[in-house]
Amino acid sequence: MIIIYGYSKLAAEISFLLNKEKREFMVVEPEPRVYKFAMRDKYTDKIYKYEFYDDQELIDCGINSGKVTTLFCMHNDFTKNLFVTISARSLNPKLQIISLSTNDNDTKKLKLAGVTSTINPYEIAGLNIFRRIDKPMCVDIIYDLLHSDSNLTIKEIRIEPGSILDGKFFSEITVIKKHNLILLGIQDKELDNEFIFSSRGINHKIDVDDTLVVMGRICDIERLKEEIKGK
Amino acid sequence: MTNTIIKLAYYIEGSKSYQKFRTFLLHLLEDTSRKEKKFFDLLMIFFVISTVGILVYEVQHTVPNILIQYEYFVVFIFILEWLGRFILSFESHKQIIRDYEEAQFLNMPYDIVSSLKIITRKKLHYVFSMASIIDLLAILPSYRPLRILRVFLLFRLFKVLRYSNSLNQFIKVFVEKKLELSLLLMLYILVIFFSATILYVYEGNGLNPKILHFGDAIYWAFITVSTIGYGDITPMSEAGKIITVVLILTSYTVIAFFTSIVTSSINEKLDGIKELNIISNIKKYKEYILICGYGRSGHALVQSLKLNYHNLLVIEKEPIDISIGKTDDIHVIKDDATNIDLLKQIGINRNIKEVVILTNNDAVNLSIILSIRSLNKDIPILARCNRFKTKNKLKLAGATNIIEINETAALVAMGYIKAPIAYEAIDDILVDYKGALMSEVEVFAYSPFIGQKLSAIEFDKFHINFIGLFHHENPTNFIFNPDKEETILQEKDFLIIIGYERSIDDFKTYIQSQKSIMIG
Repeated sequence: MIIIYGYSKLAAEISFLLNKEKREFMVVEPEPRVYKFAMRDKYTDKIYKYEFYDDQELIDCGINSGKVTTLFCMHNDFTKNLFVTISARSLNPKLQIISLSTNDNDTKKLKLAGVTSTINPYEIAGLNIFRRIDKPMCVDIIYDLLHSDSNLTIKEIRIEPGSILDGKFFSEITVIKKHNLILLGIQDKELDNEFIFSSRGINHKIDVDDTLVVMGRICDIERLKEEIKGK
Repeated sequence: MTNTIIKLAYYIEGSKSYQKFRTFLLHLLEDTSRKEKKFFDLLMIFFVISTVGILVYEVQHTVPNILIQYEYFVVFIFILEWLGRFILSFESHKQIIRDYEEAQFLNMPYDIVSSLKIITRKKLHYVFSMASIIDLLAILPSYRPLRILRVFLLFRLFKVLRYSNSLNQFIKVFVEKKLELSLLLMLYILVIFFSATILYVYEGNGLNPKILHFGDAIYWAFITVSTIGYGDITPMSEAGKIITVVLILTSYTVIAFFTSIVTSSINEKLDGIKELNIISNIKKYKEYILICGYGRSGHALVQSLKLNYHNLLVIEKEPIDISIGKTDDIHVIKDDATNIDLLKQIGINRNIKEVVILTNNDAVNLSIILSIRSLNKDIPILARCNRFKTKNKLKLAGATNIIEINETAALVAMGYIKAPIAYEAIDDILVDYKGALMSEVEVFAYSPFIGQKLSAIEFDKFHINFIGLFHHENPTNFIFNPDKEETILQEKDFLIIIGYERSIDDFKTYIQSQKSIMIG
């Protein structure tokens, strides 16, 4: 379950994509005017009119139940995002909170409040244009990877206890190549969750709780997961 | 006679060497973006200053013969320059051809006299234009019988203005503020005349031995009002002293007024001068990116472009918001990007790699796209779309690529919920300059790998991850991780790789020449 707080333009785009992927989500909008506006879009059953100033409202939505995985704070008013971020974080330390931020100062405050990641649409757009100018092909590929209707994707595979990859070195892994996948790198728990690219870390050892990042066709990734799973 | 002239006109029109000569003159004398013109201007400034120097030297010394010869040479160059400008000023043969063809078309007898009249009028108009008169005054006094006019040689200094664009702008200040300045001058003259008259009335009757006639009084008033105050003529009477005090008080007002007019208008002009400078600079770049609209996304774009050493030019109408970021080190023109004249001046040419339009108003964006398309049909344009519904209109207007800010951000948000680690990693590899980078490598015509299997490339040696490739036959279809034994590399294929910056650079040279095999 994903909660979107504030029905801004960006929130509308996100709900559109979530709806397309048939994910479970709800939109929370405090302002009556925007609420009415939101009701005009397709998913009326998913829109609720909460203020989120009271922790009880957050609990009612199931923020600390483990059912909610992600909270998007997408309100156009930064202070409201900040407030909701702090409340949600105090209720659930594990929740993924993604907030809208339009400048660096806001980002700093949100980080202090415990946000997982921030999204600055203007910065993203600027970077995106730069990439389109500088590396048009790479951008196309990345977009392909992100779009749900593409065959190619990028996935994270967590090494479970007993996995056949536990204790192996990067250079020893043949199973990934066998399935026609590319290992981009690994997030190592021992190294403070640092991401290591496969091209650098040839002599890197894989342990339980590390996360492999692989790229390839969805079916191939599923087969790989099946093969390396611990018994 | 008429026939000969018409034939001559057609001959000139068709003559290649005339066209060559004309473009040469244009480049040398008029085209400010040309190196030739710059060199020529500098040379002329040197000529002017050196000959005026000779004039000053001549006052107390005898000038050696060689310098006199030099001066003749310079005058000769000046004459050639004037003739060149005279030729460029109006194309006479075109007028003849036009009139002749018109007469033919209307089935009327061709009257050469009327054509010649027009030509003469146009040419005379040039001869008596300000620029030409200054040129002529710089030449004529060198002619012996006119030696008396030698002081006019100083007019050559005015010629310097002609060779410097920025100085020209300063002259324009005086032209533009003509009304204010002439008002001021009137006031000035009135004050001087008024006080001179009073002083003359009281002291010109023999009381003051230094004031012999009205001219002395005027001279005194002028020296006092200008705050110079030599003190060679001082008032003797009570009335004279009072009028001096009044005069001094007025003079401050006048000077303050004058200074403020000139400073404010120079300030106004300064932006224009800077802009001219930016435009002439930008024309020298082999390739640059034009950005219309500088907001938050523009700022983010500029930052990344700068890190990658791209040249850029920003056009923004509004004063730039300081909270977004400083713009000290980028070229910014404060103007309206929908203005076709401005775009023409900048030159929408092949040296623009891409035009990026980023204002938050779709109607403005549309107008900018159309302005640019009216000047150039092929330049890639990337436009920001603020409302989903206008996307098609922007495409229709001629944008090659459209970016919708919220849509892009929403995709990133999806990336975060689907695979946060992978997403951040992949996001970094597109822009991170310290860590690994994703990059595209083109296989150029002379690469030794053409016709070879992919397995011939030693990716591992460079610590490079090979992701896939684009075949030149089908550039939109990305082939992910192809079989290295079965794929044959061809010219213009693109390899998509991930690796560290150093190794990518090495890898690129390796693909091109296989050279680094020796080193590695």
